[in-house]
Amino acid sequence: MSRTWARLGAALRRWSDRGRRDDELNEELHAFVELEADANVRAGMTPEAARRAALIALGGREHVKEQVRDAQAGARWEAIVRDVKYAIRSLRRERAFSLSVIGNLSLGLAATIVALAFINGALLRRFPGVSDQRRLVTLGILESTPLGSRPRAIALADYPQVMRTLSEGLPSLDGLASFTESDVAVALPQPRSLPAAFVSPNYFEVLGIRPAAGRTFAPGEREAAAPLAVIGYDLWTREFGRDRSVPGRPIHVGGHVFQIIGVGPPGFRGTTEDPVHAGVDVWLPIALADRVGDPLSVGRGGLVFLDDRPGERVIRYVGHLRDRVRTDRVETELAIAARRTVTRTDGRPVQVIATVSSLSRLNDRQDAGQIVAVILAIPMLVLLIACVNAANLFVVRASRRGREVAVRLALGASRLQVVRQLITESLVLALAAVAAALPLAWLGLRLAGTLMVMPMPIDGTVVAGAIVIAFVTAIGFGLAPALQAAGQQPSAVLGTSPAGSGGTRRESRVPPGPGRRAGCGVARPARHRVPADVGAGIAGDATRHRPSPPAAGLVQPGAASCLIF
Amino acid sequence: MADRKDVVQGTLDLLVLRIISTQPMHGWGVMQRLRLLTEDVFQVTPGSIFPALRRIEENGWASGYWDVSENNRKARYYEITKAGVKQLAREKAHWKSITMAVDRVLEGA
Repeated sequence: MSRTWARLGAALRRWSDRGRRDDELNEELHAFVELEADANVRAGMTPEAARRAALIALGGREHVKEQVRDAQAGARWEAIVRDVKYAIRSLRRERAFSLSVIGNLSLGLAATIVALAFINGALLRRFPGVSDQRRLVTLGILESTPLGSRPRAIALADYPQVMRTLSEGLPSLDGLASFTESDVAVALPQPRSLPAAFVSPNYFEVLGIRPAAGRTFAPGEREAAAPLAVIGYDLWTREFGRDRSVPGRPIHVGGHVFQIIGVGPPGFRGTTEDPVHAGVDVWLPIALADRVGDPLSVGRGGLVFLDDRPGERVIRYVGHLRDRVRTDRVETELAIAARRTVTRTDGRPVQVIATVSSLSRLNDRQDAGQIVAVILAIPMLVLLIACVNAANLFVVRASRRGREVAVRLALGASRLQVVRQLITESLVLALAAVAAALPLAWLGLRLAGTLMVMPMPIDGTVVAGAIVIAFVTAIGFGLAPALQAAGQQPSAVLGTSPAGSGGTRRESRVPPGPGRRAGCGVARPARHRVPADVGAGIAGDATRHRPSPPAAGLVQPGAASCLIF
Repeated sequence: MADRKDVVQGTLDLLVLRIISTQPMHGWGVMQRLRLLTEDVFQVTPGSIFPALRRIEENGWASGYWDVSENNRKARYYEITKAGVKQLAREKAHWKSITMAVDRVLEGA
């Protein structure tokens, strides 16, 4: 542990006095050469020969420095920062190329971000204002009919009894709320039809919702049938200009006078809000559903069946799980409790089905998968085309950059380093494309917002999703060109070019042989063209000059003729 | 081709730490001492000594300072710290346990 701190401290210190530590290392290596030369002179060499031998013993100043840099704390991070800096520099040099790749990708990514925002808004986003959504479940009581199963409707007169039976039969829940939805006529002062929910007094408590102003319904019997209303934040904004004196004012609903007692939190529009249903504007006590609710609305989201009996409504239930309770246990309890709620004696046997699922905008996971697949298909196709275009641009550029890569390889960069560098370039481009795509996507969503009421924010989830997709994209279009570029023989590229620095093709060709390994053969031609003082470091067989793991610093006597790092 | 044997990771650090534990020493001195002590069995290069010294210093096992060498050359000396002494004892014990285990297998098999 103390070692970790020491290394962290060392990395920070080095970062803060940038350069000083490098200068010190230079001096240290200089001292090494001087001391070695002194020893050589004492052994009888001439000063010139002694110095030359000392330089050879050092094994290349830059190389040793590189080894030290690799060994020091935070080397990996520094390498990444270096790669990113280098990538930005080389991309800025080729502006036309960079801009066309970014433009290409950003269009594809913008389409993908719009799709992600839609999926997030429709399916993943948590209900605003609801606390502890993970422990909330939707309880469904369905009845099976010859035409399939559908939510069971009950008479409001039966509701208190049903609610009591369910509450007693579900010990796994520490809160059970119910509601039924219906449109209501509200005078504002012009009469308007608004989506409303008639809720049990504990509805807001179970969902853990705090009002933006005023209060919500008080759980308990006293207020159960009082004409009180909680209005939505949107309605408050739209019609009342967020006037804080609104709680306490009267409001006419369905011909009756209600008193507004509070305002819901921003964004909260009930728990049935989805891409199709706009959500609720006003919440009223469930006991008054028959008195002010639309008599034709059964609470099935507009669906009416021929055999629906007048006065019956679909009541929906939301439960709060006790700690460490799983939904399947609630389902078992509900299956028993729901059967007990069948009290009707209309001579028709009723088969009830109980379902319990976590509270979300989409209850059916299979549906969710299909929706995601359909929504993502086209943007992904657009992105794929953008990727192919980007890859083409990269391949064209790679052929132009052949020499640069060849020089890096010849100077001792490993193929992995070159591939990493080129991949970093595509990652930098992909991130720039995300940055460019976000405003585009935002505009697109603004446009879509005029047609769709559902909020589709570009939030952390969407941005994270976009970045992940951009990274995958970057690997997709960057890997093949990078591997191709790093796979070349520098000798071939440098040797044939008229602008090459010296050596002819014949000189620099790497002789084929069993001893040649990837990554070391490439350094061999470099010997012909590096300046003398660097060349002094590359003594002996260049093949042995591969960087090796730090532990391999020791060799057996048989290998004494070669220098090992 | 020379028969190269990989040495257990960290062994070089152990040897360097042992060498600077007797007296503060600079990079060149550590290298010479290592060659002398191992009777040239192991050849160590600056490319491995300097990274090892940097690692040891950054781990807090040694502290570096500039001084003048015996033949009047300015050089950076490394002096073992308390943490370094502890680390050396730990590494030594570890090394002994490994070599003893290997010995037991070689002798007993």
